[in-house]
Amino acid sequence: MRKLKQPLIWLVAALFVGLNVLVLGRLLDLGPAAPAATGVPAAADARPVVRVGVISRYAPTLIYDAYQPVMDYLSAAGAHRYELKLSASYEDAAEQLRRGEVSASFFGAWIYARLGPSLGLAPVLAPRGEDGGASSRAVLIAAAASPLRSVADLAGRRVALPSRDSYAAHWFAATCLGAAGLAAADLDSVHHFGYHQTVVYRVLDGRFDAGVVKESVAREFGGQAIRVVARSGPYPGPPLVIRAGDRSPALAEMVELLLTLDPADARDAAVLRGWDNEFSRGFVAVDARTYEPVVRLLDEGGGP
Amino acid sequence: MIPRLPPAGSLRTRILLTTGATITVIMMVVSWGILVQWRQTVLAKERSYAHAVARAFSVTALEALISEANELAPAEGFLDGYIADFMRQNPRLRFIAVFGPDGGQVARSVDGPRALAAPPLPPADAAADPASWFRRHDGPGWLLETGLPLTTGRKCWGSVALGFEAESVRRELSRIFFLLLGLVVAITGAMLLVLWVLLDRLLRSLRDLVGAMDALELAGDGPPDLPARDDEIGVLFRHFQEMGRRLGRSRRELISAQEQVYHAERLAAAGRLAAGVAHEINNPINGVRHCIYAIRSDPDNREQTLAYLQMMDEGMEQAASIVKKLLGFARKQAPAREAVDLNAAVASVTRLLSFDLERRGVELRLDLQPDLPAITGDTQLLQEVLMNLLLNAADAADGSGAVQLSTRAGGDGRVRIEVADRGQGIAAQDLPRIFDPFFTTKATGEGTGLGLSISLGIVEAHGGAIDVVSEPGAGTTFTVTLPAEATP
Ligand SMILES: Nc1ncnc2c1ncn2[C@@H]1O[C@H](COP(=O)(O)OP(=O)(O)OP(=O)(O)O)[C@@H](O)[C@H]1O
Ligand SMILES: [Mg+2]
Repeated sequence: MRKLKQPLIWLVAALFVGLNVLVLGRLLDLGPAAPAATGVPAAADARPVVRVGVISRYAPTLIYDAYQPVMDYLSAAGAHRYELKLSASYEDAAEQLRRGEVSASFFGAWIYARLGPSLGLAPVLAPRGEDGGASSRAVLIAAAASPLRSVADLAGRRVALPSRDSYAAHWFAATCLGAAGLAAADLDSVHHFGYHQTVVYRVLDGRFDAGVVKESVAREFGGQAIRVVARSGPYPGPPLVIRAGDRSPALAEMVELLLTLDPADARDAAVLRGWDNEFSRGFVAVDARTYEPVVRLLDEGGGP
Repeated sequence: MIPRLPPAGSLRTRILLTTGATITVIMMVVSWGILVQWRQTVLAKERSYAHAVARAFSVTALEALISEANELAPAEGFLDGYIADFMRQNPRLRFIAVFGPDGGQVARSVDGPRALAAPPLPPADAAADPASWFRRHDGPGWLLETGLPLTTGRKCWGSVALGFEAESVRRELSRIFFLLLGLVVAITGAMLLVLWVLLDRLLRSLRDLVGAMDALELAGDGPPDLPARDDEIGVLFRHFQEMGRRLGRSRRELISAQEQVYHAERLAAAGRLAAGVAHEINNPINGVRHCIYAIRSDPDNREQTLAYLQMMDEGMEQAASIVKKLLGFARKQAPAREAVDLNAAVASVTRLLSFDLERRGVELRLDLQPDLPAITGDTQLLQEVLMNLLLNAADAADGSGAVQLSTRAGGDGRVRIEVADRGQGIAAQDLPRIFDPFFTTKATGEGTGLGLSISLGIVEAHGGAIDVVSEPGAGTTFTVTLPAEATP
């Protein structure tokens, strides 16, 4: 028994030391080994591609944030793979559509009225407005703490506007100011931004006293920080535009999928909630006649 | 001779080894725990740093990829310039690679002195969360690589992979390790040192105690001398001193008990004598009575009266001599140094006992060697020995035969007295104890168990010995050997 004890103690000691070395070796190493880096991408989507154009007036990542969820929904629900196609200008976008590089394009109401009819393009749907139709509105906003109470107070003020090619900018120049008895020259300065959100930021940070944006964007910022000073009458919202007479099944599928989205339906509402605020009520069908008032306005006064 | 303590101090070695091993094991386990925890914290910190850098890089990379896919390419070589700039700004970066959605490499950092030569691979699953891992490369050693998918919504634009040098992390981990190792060694060493000192003091105290034990003499007086201490060792010392004191006390008690026993034995012997004495005195008194009766019945016979008076005188003289002897026996005297004629001593003892023996039907046969050499000693004490042996023999042979007493002069100048009986003998298990004081097999009142003990003391005081040979059922022989020139 005593004879056995001695080697046993040495054995245990040796085991302990060995274990120590092993554990410490592992602890001092930085492993675990790298995961097998195969580089094989997720199974490629082999379905036919349908491209949808968007004008890139601002950061591409922001445009994707706003429109990619729509493409994801269409790809998941339809038989095609829907991809966004950005273009540098409205002219490019219209040209791409005309050449067939894209099947449809998100246009502004104003730009459609300016380019669409002459290039043989037709609107198919637009975001649903609060009246249930394709209506949209523009609003004049000021910071909540601003002393601005009416359009008339704008004299000598700095005003931020969206793109020259937007209905909102046009409404401000052609209608809003005039109704208050002011002219563009009465203002301190006017600046156009590519992105409606940028207008809100500039008003909020005080670099501009007032700004004009789509009502949907003003709503995004809630009622606390900004205040609506004036509101335009309804006008048709920004349409999805196609080549007139295009009867391709992919297009039919896309229009169908978007028009059937019902905000009253819980599943559809969940889908719409993830999208840009402008699309929150879904879409309604439109045609060239819907935009005739805008076309007329354009013919009358030209751009701001 | 017993060594005071084992030279190597095996107790100390064992305690030191066991404690050292235990402390080491505990410290190692604790160190493991700390190291594991520390490692996790360090690695998690590194990972989150890598993720943050990768995220910062990916924003612009994503924009570049999107622009490129939409043919909105900003400036030519934008991504390459961005990568080079990013590499410059972050000195820990070793490579940056951008992959397309198909896994093909779109752009990557240029190989340089601190950049990686082999092209990195894209993350395994581009759609997964940012993943990071450590990998060892031939040139720069350990790298922390992190992969991040570039997505908008469900669309994947590709991925980026960034590699950070991780050798510094490794160095930090091993620095922690060596720190812990140093701590373990230092703490274990310090504890063992303290333990060694304590053990040394303890063992020195033990050595003191062992020394005191060795020095303790039963004959000496007073408790053993040890330093006063107020710890457990002190308690041990005090108990040892108390034990020494008790030993001394019991030795003194033993001596006084022996003295008492000696006196008691003398009293007992005197009692035994009384019976014999009464008989001895009765005989002459009866004779005197008989003479008086005879004279009274014929007072006128003058001749006869004179003869009877002569007989009466002899009887009175005998009685007087018995009383004188008894007085001499009972009187406590210092042991004398005189020439003793053992045959005469035997004769006087047997005379005293003859009545008692006769009454009990025990025949006493004497075989005395004539011209036995005289020895030096105390006659009275030696007579006591003889009487004790004879009484024991008579007790054993009670009613069943003879007791033989013989004296012999040995060739070696010694004298031997033998008392043999044919009695019941002594049981083997009693034999070693018969000389113990108060050992007796006799009924209470019949034996005190002192006889043999006292006798042995007397014989040994004369420089002699008592031997006994006994066979149960057959008889017992006691042999007293005394030197011719015995001195008490
Ligand atoms: N001759 C003998 N034969 C058998 N047993 C003996 C003999 N002599 C001694 N013993 C045993 O030894 C014992 C001790 O004897 P010891 O003379 O010391 O005491 P004791 O005779 O019992 O009492 P006492 O004090 O009256 O002599 C006896 O009780 C007896 O058992
Ligand atoms: Mg006796």
